[in-house]
Amino acid sequence: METEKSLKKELLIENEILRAREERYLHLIDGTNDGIYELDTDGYFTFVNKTISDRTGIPQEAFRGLHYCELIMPEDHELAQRNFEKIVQGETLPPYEIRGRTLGGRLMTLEVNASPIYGGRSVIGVMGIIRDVTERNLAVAALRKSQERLRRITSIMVDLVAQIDLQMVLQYITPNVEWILGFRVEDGLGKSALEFIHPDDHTLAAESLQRVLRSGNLEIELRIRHSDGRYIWMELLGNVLIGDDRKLAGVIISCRNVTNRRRAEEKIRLLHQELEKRVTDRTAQLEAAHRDLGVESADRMRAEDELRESERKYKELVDFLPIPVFEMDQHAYIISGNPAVHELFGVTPEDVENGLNAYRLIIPEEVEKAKQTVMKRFAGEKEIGTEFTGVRKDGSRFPMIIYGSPIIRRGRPVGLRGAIIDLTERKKAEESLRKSSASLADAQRIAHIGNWEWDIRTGETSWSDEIYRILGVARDSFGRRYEDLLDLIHPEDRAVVKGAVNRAVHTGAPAENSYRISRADGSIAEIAERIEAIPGGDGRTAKLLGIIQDVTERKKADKKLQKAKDALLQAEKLASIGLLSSGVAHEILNPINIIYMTLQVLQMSEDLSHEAHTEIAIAIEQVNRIVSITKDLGRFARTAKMDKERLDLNEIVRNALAQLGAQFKFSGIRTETGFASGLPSIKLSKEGIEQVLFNLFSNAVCAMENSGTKILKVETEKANSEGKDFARVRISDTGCGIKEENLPRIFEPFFTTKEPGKGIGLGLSISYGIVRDHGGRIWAEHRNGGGAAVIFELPIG
Amino acid sequence: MEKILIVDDEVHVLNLLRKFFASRGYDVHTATTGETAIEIVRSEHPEIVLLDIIMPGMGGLEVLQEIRKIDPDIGVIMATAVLDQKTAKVALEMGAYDYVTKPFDFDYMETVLLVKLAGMRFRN
Repeated sequence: METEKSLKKELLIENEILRAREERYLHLIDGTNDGIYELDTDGYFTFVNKTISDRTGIPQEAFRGLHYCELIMPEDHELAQRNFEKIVQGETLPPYEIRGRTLGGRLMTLEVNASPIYGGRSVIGVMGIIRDVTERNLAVAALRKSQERLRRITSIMVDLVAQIDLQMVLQYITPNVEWILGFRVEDGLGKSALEFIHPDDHTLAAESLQRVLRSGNLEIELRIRHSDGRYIWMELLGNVLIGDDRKLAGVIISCRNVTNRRRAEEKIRLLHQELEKRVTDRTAQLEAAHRDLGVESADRMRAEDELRESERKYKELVDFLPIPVFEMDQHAYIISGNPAVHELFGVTPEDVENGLNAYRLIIPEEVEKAKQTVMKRFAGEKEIGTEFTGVRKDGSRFPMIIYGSPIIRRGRPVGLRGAIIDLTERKKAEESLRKSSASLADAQRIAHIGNWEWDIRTGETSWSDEIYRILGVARDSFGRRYEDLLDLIHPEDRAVVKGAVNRAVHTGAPAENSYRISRADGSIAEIAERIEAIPGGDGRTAKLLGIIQDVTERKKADKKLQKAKDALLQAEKLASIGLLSSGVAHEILNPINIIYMTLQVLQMSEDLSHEAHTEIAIAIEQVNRIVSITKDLGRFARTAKMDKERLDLNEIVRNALAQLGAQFKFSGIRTETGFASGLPSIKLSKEGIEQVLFNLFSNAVCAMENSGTKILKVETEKANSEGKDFARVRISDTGCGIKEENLPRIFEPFFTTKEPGKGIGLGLSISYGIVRDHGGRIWAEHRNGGGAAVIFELPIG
Repeated sequence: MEKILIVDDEVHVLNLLRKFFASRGYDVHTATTGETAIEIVRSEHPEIVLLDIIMPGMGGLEVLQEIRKIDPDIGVIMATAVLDQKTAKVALEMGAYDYVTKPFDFDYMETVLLVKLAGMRFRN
């Protein structure tokens, strides 16, 4: 009992241990990811772990009585049966796969690793581990699929892929190299990549390799050789390849043929270039066109503006125009007329609007002529203007001239446009001009005045009738050219005439000249001429107008008159000088007196130096000179008061010569005398006439100072002038003579040609005064053969 | 001391003559017009009068006439710039002692004066 008890107890413990162990295994079995099962030899489940229950969704207790086939896809039943029998027969099988399914029908790929359960020597069941490989198989399948796809892609892809090592030796080439470059893969492997690169691109390739090793990326384009020898432009994209040892192993390169692309690019570039060019050209064209258009448009606008403005101006101008301006149609109906037209014909704008025929504005007799004129205008015939007699509304008539030109539309005359000049005033003017011309001709004939016109540009001249008479030439035979006129002019005067004409032409200023004309009959005509220049449009002289007058008679009279005038003037001048001298002498002598006395007072002063005395003496001497001149002047004025008595003039002359005889001898002068016999005694002032003679002798001596021959000739004679008897004394010398221009002046006081200090120029004027006081006259002449002669005459009786 | 009257419308002339004659020891009186001259002749009784002929207002010849009326013994010497013999002749006929012409020469004038004075003294 004890034993049994202890045995029972022992068994219980053992069971307990076993159960614990079993529990632990079960726990393990349930915890694994794999399914664990046991089948009896008939194939019914005897055990499944929790994993299988979970995966299949079938409770563990439900597996009792369940055949494994229930969970196998029917297609795999055979496989599963076969493998089960083999295991039941004690065969060991490698793991196999079988497709299982859940009760829900979900498919699973199961890897089965089964083995027999031995009960003694015989197999009592099968135990297996199943693993769900559904996921794994899917991945494998995907991989396989992917590999296949890759193979297929690489075999058809455009890109050639190659791998090179650091020495550029080809390690791998995709098979498509065959149809891309014509090489087989084995032709390239182990060779330098450079062999397939264009020599010119070797440097670029080497540099690119260095770059890719540094940066990790490659992107270049190179020319790659085809087996047929041509080069293909390829784009190379590369990535470095890291080896298992984590070091640079080489570069994977993808190459793509870009020849076409480059060609296309080149084409595009060219096209682009072409396009650019065309765009540029077109732009330029457009710009130019635009500009032109702009200009044209601006021009057009401006032109239009100008046109409008010009139209407006013309309209205003026409309206304001005092000249009648009209337009009429081909039937002579007035289309339009400016206010001047209305005014001229006394018509209203309404009259015109109601239809006014132009032929009604002309006297009936001239309508036919007017119609013909219009026809001529329409025929294009040009005329300066046609005169008509106009008729006003009130019937009054007036002369007019019409200037017309046809209005042309589409090449055909449709009317007439014109201007009318009212000739009323002009006709009046013409009439009065005709009358005045006649008067002028009469006046010219009477006054011996002629007028001429000379158009310098055309050379045309017109002369009035009187010119022909003045010049003594016939109207028909005379050439009337400037040269012809010059031929008529006295040779000495031609230069003067030419000068006056040139002056008038060039300065435009009026010119006056006088010249002589040698007439055909040998007579000389004295001509006075006045020339006026008429400027042309350019401001230069276009025309000369001249008036010539025959002044021959007048000149003769003038010369006579002038002589008389000169004498009178001389007389008046000297007389006034005489009067003046008297007053002047007094006025001069008073201040001179003060100066003179002052100098004397100074001279008395004892404290003056010798030099001062000398200088005062000089001043006194000069004052004395003034006094002397003044006294001479006073004497000149005083002559009228000289006492006169009847004396023999010859005797007085003889005495005077005798008194100066010694001086003549001393100067080497020979005297010749010629005394008139039978001269009656003359009432004269002996003192005065002596003074005259002394003055004249003295002048002669001075004049002959430097002459070779020195002859003083003194003659007296009886002369008659203007019915009166005169005793004339003529004193002539062979001296230097008197210059022509000095002749009229030698009798003026203070006029002298002597050197300073040799005379103050009063001798001849005193002589003049004395002779004049005797009622005689004195004058100077040139002596024949040089020298001068002074003649004075005193009235006898 | 001989008393003289100088008559001239020019003050400068008077001053210069006064200066000269005063330096020669004369008692010199002056007048610029004829009227003043006559008053002075009356009040001062100069022995010699030097009288300018041409003066504004009362002329030299008129003054001469008046002086001759006051005292015919006064020696009147006419002074003139006019070289007119006729005027000079008239003055001498009217009782002037002598005449001098301008410009005045002091020496000549003094001589004329001395001669006149000597003649008057001789007469007295």
